[in-house]
Amino acid sequence: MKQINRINNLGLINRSKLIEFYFNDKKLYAFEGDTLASALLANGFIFTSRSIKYHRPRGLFAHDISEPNSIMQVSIEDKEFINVQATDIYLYNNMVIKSINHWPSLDFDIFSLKRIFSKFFLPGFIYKTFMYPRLLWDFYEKLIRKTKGFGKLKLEEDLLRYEKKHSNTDILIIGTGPSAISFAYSVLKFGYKIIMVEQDSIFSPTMLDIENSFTDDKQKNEFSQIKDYVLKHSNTTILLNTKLSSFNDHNFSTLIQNSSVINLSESNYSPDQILWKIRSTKVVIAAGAIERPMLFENNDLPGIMSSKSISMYLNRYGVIPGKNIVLYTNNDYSYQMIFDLLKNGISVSAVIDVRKNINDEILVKLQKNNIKVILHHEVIKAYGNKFINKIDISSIDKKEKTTIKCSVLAVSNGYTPINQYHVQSGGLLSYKEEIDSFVPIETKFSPIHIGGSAGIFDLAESIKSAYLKSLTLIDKKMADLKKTSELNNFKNTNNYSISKYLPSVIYNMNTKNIFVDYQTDTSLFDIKYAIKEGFIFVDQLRRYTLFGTGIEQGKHSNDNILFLLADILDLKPDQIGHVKSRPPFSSINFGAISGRSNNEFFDPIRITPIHNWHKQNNAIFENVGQWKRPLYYQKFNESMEESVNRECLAVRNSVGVIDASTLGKIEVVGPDSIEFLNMIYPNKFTNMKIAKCKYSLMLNDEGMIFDDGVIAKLDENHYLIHTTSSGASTVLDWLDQWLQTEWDHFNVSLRSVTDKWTTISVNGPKSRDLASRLFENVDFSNESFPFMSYKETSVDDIPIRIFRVSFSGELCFEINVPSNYGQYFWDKTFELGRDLSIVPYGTEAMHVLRAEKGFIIVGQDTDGSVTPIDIGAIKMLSKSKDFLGKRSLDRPYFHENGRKQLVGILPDDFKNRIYDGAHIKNINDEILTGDILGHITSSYFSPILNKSIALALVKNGNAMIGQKVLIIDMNLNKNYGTITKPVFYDEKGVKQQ
Amino acid sequence: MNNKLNTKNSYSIFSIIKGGFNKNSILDISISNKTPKKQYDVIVIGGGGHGMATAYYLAKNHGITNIAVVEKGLIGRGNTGRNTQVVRSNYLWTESSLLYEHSLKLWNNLSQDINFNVMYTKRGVFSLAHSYQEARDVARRVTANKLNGIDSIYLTPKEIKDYIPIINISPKVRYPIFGASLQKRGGTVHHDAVAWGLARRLNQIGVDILQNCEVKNLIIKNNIVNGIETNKGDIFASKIAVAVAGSSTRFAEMGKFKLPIESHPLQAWVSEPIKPILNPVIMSNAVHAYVSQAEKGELVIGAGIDKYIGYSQRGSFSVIENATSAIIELFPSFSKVKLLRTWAGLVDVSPDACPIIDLTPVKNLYINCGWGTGGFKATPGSGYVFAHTVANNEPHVLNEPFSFTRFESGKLIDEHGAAGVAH
Amino acid sequence: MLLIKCIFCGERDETEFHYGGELRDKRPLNPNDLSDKEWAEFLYSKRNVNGIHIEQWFHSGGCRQWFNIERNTFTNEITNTFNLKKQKITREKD
Repeated sequence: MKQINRINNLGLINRSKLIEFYFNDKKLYAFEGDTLASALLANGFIFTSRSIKYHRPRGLFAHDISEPNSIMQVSIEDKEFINVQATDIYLYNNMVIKSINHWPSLDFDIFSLKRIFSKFFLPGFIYKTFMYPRLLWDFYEKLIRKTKGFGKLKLEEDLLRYEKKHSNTDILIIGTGPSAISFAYSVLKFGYKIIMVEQDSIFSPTMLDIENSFTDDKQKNEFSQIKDYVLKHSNTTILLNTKLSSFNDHNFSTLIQNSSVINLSESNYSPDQILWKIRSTKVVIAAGAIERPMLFENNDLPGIMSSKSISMYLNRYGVIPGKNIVLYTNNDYSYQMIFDLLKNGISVSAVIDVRKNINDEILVKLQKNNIKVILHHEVIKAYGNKFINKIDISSIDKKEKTTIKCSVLAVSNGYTPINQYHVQSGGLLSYKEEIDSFVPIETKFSPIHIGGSAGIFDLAESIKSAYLKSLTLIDKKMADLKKTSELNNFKNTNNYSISKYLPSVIYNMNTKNIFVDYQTDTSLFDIKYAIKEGFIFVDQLRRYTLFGTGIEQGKHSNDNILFLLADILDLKPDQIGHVKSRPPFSSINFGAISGRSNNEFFDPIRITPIHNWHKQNNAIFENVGQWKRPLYYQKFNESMEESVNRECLAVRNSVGVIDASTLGKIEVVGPDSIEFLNMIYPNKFTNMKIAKCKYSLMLNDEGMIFDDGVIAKLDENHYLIHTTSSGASTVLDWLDQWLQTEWDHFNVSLRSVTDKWTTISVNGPKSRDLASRLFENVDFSNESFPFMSYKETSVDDIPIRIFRVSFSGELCFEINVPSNYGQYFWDKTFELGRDLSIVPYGTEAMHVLRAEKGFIIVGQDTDGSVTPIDIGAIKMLSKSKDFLGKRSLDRPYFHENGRKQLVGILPDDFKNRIYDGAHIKNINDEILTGDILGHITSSYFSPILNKSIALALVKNGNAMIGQKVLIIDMNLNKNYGTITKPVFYDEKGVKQQ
Repeated sequence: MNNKLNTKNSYSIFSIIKGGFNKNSILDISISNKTPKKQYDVIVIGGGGHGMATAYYLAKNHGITNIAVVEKGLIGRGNTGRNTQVVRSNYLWTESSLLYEHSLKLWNNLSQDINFNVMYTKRGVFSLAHSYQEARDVARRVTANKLNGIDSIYLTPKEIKDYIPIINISPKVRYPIFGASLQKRGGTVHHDAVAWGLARRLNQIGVDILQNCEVKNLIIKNNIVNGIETNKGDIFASKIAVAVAGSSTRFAEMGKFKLPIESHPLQAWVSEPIKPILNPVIMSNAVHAYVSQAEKGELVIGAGIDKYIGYSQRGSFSVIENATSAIIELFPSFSKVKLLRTWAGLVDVSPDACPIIDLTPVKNLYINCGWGTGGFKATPGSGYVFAHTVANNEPHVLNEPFSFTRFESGKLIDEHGAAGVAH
Repeated sequence: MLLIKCIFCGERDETEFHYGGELRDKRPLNPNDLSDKEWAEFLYSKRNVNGIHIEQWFHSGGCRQWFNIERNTFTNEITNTFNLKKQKITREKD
C-alpha cells in the first residue's frame, strides 16, 4: 500500500479513504480525490504510455487537459471510457486502467522496433508510397489503418446517462483563479448575475493557500475578503467539475459537467454528465495559460515534465515525481516550482536557465538554499531508456559541455494563454514579445480575457488588471471613479521576465528525436523537412505534418512550432499567423451532445386518438412523417399481403374504415380567402358554392407539385383545406409565408386544426348505409349529399363535419368529429357496422385502392420534378387568373416533346408485382442500350382485378398507350408490360359518384 | 500527353528508402510560392481542388501550361481541406451520374497520374432508407445506376448487417432501417493529399500557383475579359476560369451577371481517433447525417447544410446535436466516443443541387460553381470538363446539361427534389 | 447559434425560427409580362451578400409571424430587426 512518491500532509485528497485500482492488471493504491495521473505518479509510474507512431516510452507531462502523453482506456463497473487523458478523470475504487498502443506490454513493446525505421518515415510518408501496384492500395490501407487510432471502442451499450441543461446569465466566467475572483467581485457589485465555472472539483484550486500566496499582508486580507464576498453572494452560481467546451456566436457557450467524475449513485434519475448550454451577455476567459515544453534531443523521455505541473501535483495531490529534480527554463515565473518544493523541504539539484540574467530576488533565494544555477546554458540531450537519468548541457556559445544526473527534468519554455475560444469564434491574435506569446485582440464579439489567458502571469497584476477590465462593462464615468477605489494593494513588483528561446539545432538538418508535438510524434526534423517542401504557412504545415491534430489539439505544441517556423523563415511570429483552432476546446462524448434525444425521443411521435384501438386490433404501424399510422391490421396468422388483400376487398365489396385523422387540415378564414386560394391553387375558386369540395394540387412557383388535397367551402369566406399527412406543417409555413411576406394586403387568417378533428373515413358500397345509421338526422342520399360536397351536423351538441370525397374510388364519407369524441364515434361506427362486414384498413390497402384508380401520392408518383401537365391535370390549370407556378409552367420546356407523363402499366406477368423503381425502355432495347424512358412509381397487386398493376412516369407516355415496353428492375430482370391510361378500376368513376 | 508532365522526382517505395539515407535525394517542392508573371494563357481563379484540377487537365489534355492558379488564401485550406472525403457516383439522374462517374474513374488512377497517393479507398458507400417510400426511392436509384453502367446494389437490413455488424437494424428504433443502396466503388479520398498532390504536380508542370493573391476585380473591356486586378498587381490572360466556391456571386457581380447561388455553411465534425471499427461510409438522408472512419481513426460525421446563408465558416450547434443523435441511433456504441473537432465549409447551393459549368455572358470568362455538398467527389471530373470548356470555348458533352440556360428554360436536373441523397 | 430578437416575442434561440431566405423583390403582379429570362432571374437569382444582408425569418416555434432582420453574414452580428413593412422597431446595442 506504499505510495512511494507521496508526501505526507499535503494536498486536497482524502487520505482517510484508500482506493484500490488496477493499472495494466497491477493492483495499486491511492486516495480519494486523486486523478489517474496523480495516482500513477504517487505509485512511481513515471513511464505511463507509448507514443502513437514510434512507440517511444512516454510519461506524464502536464497536469491538465493539455496532457499529450498519458492516454488511457478506463473502465469501472460496466462503464467504459476511451481516450481518457490520465489528468482528466478522478480515481475510484476498482477502476481498471489500461495504457494503450503497445503489444504485448507497456514495458516490452514489439512495435517499438518501428523506431529503427524512423528515418524512412518522412513527412507525408503515406502520400509518397503505397501507390504501386494500384490494385494493392486497399490492402495496404487496411494494414495502415490498424496502426492508427488511440483507444479501442467496445460495442457494448453506453451506460452513461446524459442530460442537457439550459441557462442564461449576465457574465459567464471560465475559471475560479485569482483574476476570475477579482472580476467576479467587481461585476457582482454592479448587480450582475454570474456563473463561475471550475474544471476541478474544488473552487479556486490554485488559491488554496492564500496564506502562502501573498507576501504582503494587505493583499492577503483584501483577497480573502473579496473571495468570501464572491462565494457568499446570492447572484453567484458555481459549476464545479465543468469545462467550457465551445464558445459560439452571440455568446452561446456549451459546457460539459462531470465528464471527469464517475456517478456512483444507484438512482436512475441522476445523470452522469451534463451538457450545459448557456447564453450570457458576456463570457470571461480566466482559464490561465499552458506551459510549453523545451526542445532538445529526447525531450520526450518519461520524467520530463512541465514545471507548473510539478507544482500542481505537489500542492494539490501531495505527490512528487522523483527525488532528483532539475529545472530547465527560460523565464522567472517557473521558479515558483522551486519555492513550492522548498516550502516542503524538497530541494532541486540544479537549475539550467538559457538566459544570461535572472531576477535578482530569485537568485538570492536560490543561493540561500544552495541551489546551483547554471545560466546561459541549454540542454542538448537527455538520456535514459524508459526514464530520464541524465542530461548533456552546453553553454549557449557551445564552449562548455557537461553532464548532469537527474530523475526529473522540469521544463518551462514560456506560457501560451488560453486563447482558443477566442480563435474558435473568429478572433485574431497578436504576438506580445515581452511574454513571448500570442494574446487575443478582443472585439465586441469575443470573450473578455483576464489573468494568464490575457498573458498576465504576475499574481498581483492579474488581480488588479482583471478588476480594471471589468470596468469596461459599465458606464465610463462610473468606471473612472472606480478605477482607483479598490484593490490598490495589488501591484506588480516582481518584474519577472521571459526570454524567447529556440535551440540552435533548429538550423541543423541532421537532428534526431526532438519532438515538437508529443502526441502526434511530430519531430523538429519533420517540420524542417516540410518547410523545405514548401509548407511555409502554419495551417498547411499543420495539416501536412499533423502536429496539433491529436486528442489535445496541440495545446502544448502549437506555439513552439509557430516560433520555429517564424525563425526558420526569418519572420516575426505576427507575420506568420496562428493556428486556426476549432471547437471544442475540451472534448465531449457524442452521447452528451445527443443527450436524451435517442430512441423514442429522437423525434416526437404523433398518434391519433384511435391509436390504442389500432394497437389492440393488431395494427402494424408505419411512420408517416412523425405520425404512427396503421399499415395494415393482422388477423390470425395472415401475411402482410393476405391482410392487405382482405382489407382492399372489404372496401370494394362492403365497407372499410380508415383513420384519416393525420391528414393535414388548415382553416382559411377572411374576406380575401377566395383571392388567396386562387393564388395558392391552380383551380379557380371564384364561383365555388358553399358546402362544395374541390380537389387540387399545390404547386411551388417553379410549377412543381409539392402537395395535394381537398378544399371544402364551409361557409362564405371560410374554407377548410386538406394537406398530405406528412406535408401539413410545411404547407402551413408556406401559406403563412406568402400571406405575410407577399400578400399582406389580403385579409385572411390561417389556423391548423389537424389535431382538433378525428377523421373517420368510411369507404365502400355500404358506406351510405353505415353513415345513415351513425347520423340518422342527415340525409345521405345522392341527391341531397352528392359527390364532392359537405354537410355539418351535430350529435348532442357535438359538431360533426362530413365530406363526401373519395381517395379509394368507392362511395365514401369522411366523418370528422372533435378529437375528444374520436374514439367514441370510432367505436360506434364499428358497432353499427358489424353486420355490414365492416373492416378497418391501413395505409397499404389505401395505397392499393388509390393506385387502382390512378390517384397520385405526392412524393411517390411525383418527385419534385413533376408538373400538373405531366400527370394529366392540365384542366385544373385556370387560364383566367394568376396562381403560383403558372408563369413557370408557361415555359416552353414543360410543353415539349419528351416530358415524362403519368401512365398505367399492366405487366405481362400479371401474377407478380414489378419491383418498385423498375425502369422502362423501348421494347427492343437491351439493358445497356437505348434510352431510359421512365420508371415505375407505384407497383401493387390488385386483389379486385386479380392482377398486378403499376403507375409509371414515361417519356411521351400518353402517346405510347397500348404499346408494349421493356421493364428492367433493380436485379436487371427483364419484364414486359403494356402502357395504359393511369386508371385500372372503374374508369368512369361510377362507384364513387 | 505533354512531355513536361514527366518529371525526374518521382515518389515510390524505392525513392523513400533512398531518401531514408539521403533526405535531400527525394526532396521535392510540393507548394511553390511564386511571384506572378504579367501574362498567362489562362488564369484559373481559385486554388481549390477544382481550380487545380482544371489547370492540371488544361495541361494534360489540352497542352496549355502557361497558367496561373490564383488563390485568395492557401492551397488546401478552403473546402478542399474541409470536407468529409466521400466519393461516389450513384446519383439518380443520368446527367449527374455520368459526370460523377467520370470523376470516379479519374480518381481511380489519380495517385499514379500525379505520383502522389491520394488514398482513394473503395470502402463502399451505403445510403440508408428509413421508410417504404425511401426504400422505393433507393430501389429506383439503384436501377437507374445499373442501367447507366454504374455499380450499385440494393440491400435488405439483414444484408446491411452482414456488411456492417455494428449497425443497429432493430425495428424498434424511431426510424428503423428498411434497406440501403451500396456502391462498392464508392469510398473516400484523402482531401489533403488531393491538395498537396495537385499542387506538387502543377509545380512540376510549370503552372504558377499564387497563394494569398486576392482578386480585386476583373479587367473587362467591351464585355471581354482579359485580366484581373489583384493585391499583387494586374495579371493578364486570354482566358479566365473561375472556380471559387463561396465567392462565385462576387465574381458574377464583377462580370455584371446574376447567379442562382446561395452560400451556406456546411458542418462536419470528427471524433477522437479510435482503432478501426467502421470501414464503409454510411449515409442517411432521412436523418440528415453520414459517418465514416478516416484512415487516422477519427469518426467523420457530416450533416446537411446550415439553413441560413453565411460566410463565417461557423455553423449552429443544433445541427451537430441533431446529426449526432442520428448517428447514435444507427451506432449506439458511438455514444462513448468523444467529439474532437468541428468545422464548417462554405458551399454554393444552386436551386437544383447541381453545378453550373459553362461559359458566361462575358467573353473569355468561364465559371464552375454551385456544387453544393457534392464538390469534393467531383474534383477531377469537374476539372476535366471545365478544362475542356475553357480550352474549346464550348462545354464537354458531360457538362452540357449543367448550363446557365437551364434556369431560364426550366430544364433543371433536380437531385434534391428527386430525393437523391445530398452528400 | 444565433440569438434572434423576434419583434413580437423578444430574444429567442435560433432553433425557434425558420430562415426564409433573403428579402426578395415583390412577386410581379403580372408574371406573364416577364420574359423567360426575367422570370428566371426573379425565381432564382440571389444577392447572396457577404456582409450586411436583409433576410426574412419566421418565428415558427413562437408567434408564427414573419419579420426581417439585418445580419452581417460574415460575423453573424444582427444589427437590426424590423417588421415586414420595414419600419425599424428596434436597433440592437453594439
